[in-house]
Amino acid sequence: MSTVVLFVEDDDRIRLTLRVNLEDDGFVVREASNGTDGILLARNDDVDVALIDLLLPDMHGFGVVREIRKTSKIPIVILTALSDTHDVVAGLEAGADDYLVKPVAPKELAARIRALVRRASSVPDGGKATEYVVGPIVVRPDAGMAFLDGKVLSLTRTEFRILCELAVRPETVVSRDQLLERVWGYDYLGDLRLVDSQIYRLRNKLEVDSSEPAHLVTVRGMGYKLVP
Amino acid sequence: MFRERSVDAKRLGLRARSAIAFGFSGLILSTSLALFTYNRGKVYFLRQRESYAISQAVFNARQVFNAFQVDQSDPSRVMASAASTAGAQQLLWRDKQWFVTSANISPVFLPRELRDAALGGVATRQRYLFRGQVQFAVAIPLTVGEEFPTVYFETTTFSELSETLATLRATLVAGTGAAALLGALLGYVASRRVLRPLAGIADTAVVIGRGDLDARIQNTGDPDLSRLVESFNGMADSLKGRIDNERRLAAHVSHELRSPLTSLKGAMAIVETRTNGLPDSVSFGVQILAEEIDRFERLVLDLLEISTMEQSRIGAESSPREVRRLLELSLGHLALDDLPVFVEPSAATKEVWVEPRRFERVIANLVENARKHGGEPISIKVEVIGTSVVFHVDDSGGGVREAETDLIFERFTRGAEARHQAGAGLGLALVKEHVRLMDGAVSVTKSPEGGARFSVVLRSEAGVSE
Repeated sequence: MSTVVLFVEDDDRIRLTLRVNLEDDGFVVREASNGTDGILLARNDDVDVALIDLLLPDMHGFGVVREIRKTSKIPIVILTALSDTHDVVAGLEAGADDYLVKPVAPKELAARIRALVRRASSVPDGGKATEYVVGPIVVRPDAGMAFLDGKVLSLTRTEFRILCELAVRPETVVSRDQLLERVWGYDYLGDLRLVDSQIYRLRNKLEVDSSEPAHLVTVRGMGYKLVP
Repeated sequence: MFRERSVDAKRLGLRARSAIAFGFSGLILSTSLALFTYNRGKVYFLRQRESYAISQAVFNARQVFNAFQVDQSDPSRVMASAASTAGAQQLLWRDKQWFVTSANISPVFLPRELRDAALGGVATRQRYLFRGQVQFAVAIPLTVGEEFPTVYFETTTFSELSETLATLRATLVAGTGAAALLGALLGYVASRRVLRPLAGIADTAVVIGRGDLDARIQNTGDPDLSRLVESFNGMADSLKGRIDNERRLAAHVSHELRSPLTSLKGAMAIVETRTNGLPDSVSFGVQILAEEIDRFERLVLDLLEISTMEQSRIGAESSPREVRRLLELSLGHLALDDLPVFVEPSAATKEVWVEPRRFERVIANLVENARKHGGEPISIKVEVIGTSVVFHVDDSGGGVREAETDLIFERFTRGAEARHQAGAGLGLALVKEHVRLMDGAVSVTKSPEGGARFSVVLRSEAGVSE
């Protein structure tokens, strides 16, 4: 079964050349040249992963991410022409799992998408127990589910993996580098903003007041930890 | 108005000059005042003393005159019986003879002008110096109209007055000195208070210079300083505005350049995988295309990178990393694992403040530079110097000329020999900027193997904070 990639990119030449490359690598590609079409495709078609350019003619790329996230947990990679604007962070905080900066080598793109899909379908290394309880939070790594006060939490795969990493060792500090390595597979020369933006998303889902987190706390200069 | 001072001359700061100026003015003022006071005082005291001495002398002269009216016979007896004043010496000139009341005095002690005038019948007085002491003599002729008049002389020492004046002098000198010192102190303190807000301005300027364009000076409400504060903040605002505009432009340019590069690479990848069965000439063309596109991409990205670096904040993304692990990972990423690396034992476990991605670019560019312009073998050495960790990239090439050691870090320059080679000349300029943004420094010297040694100095403790 080939992986279906939703590719939202307004530049025709980029879209077409990268599509051919992805097809050469065994992916099936569904194209959209604007945000609205992209959202429709995501909703109606069976896509496994989305690749979304941030600069679209009708809306911001991160708007598309947000829309897709309302109904889907598929892994999302954002494509951008700039690496240090607020757009990347906005895209990550809207729910993207990773980002790539143009110009991107087609092989690199294929490898990233594959890695993302593989992580999404694999079970996080949860340790020995089947269930971890940290205060009101319950995490079941094997089942891929997490609960807050008994209610199911709707988490993306990346968010879930991070929560697992923290829940498996409660009240222990996990550094951002460690999270980057364990969840994304990047050694610490990767971008720590990936971690920070997912923590931000997790807090919005777990905490009553994300600015004063009670469970997912920051340990300055060291990392994050989960406390009951 | 502003002449060039020699570079070596020691320049005094504002506080020192202010202290000197105030001290000097204080000195001048108090000296003038002291001199004036002393003069007026001296004149006054003298006049008082002299008029007292004169009235004394007149009184005594009258006594003598009256005594003579009674008994004209023996002048010396008259003199002896006449009232004497303590501290005064009396002489009498009568019948062409001198008569004195004590052995301490002699007519030759008196000034010549006084004697001549008095003997000529004129009442005179004179202040003079005798044996280092100030003396005051009064001469009063007792008779008038005679050929040889009788003249009464009285002379006193003004020693007390001298002492008084000496004391006054000393006091005034001390006062002058104290005033000068106080003036200097006042000048120093006043200038410090004036300079204090300037220190705040200087600090803010440094913060802005490091890349934080939002820093501004608080208005203290001082009307004299408000103009400076407003114009400084206004300048910072316009600077930020311009840099923001440049950022927007750069972002636009970046996007415009990156997009065609992406499709170029994409198209290239499509062609490269389909060269089977094509004539050699076409395959050759494809190969050249691929290489040139890679080179072009490198050039564009380097240019884009260096144009945005000026707007970055120093140390903004730095964090402490262990030296050994940092090197391991960086070299691994760059596929330079087989490069000889010598890490001094004390350096291996030290933590260095870096942005790992920048550090990787630095190593990559330095090694590439060593390969292109230096010569194999290349090696990396790491040592600790003070509070810094130093990374050396050594090559065995021809080295860098003394005159070019600063020049090679400039953009678009290449060593004289390298002109024919490919590349934009940005590699070392990028290294310099990356290192600068990690709050470090880079320089080039001679390596032990005779080639070039590029040394990157990075902090090993927390230095720059956000």
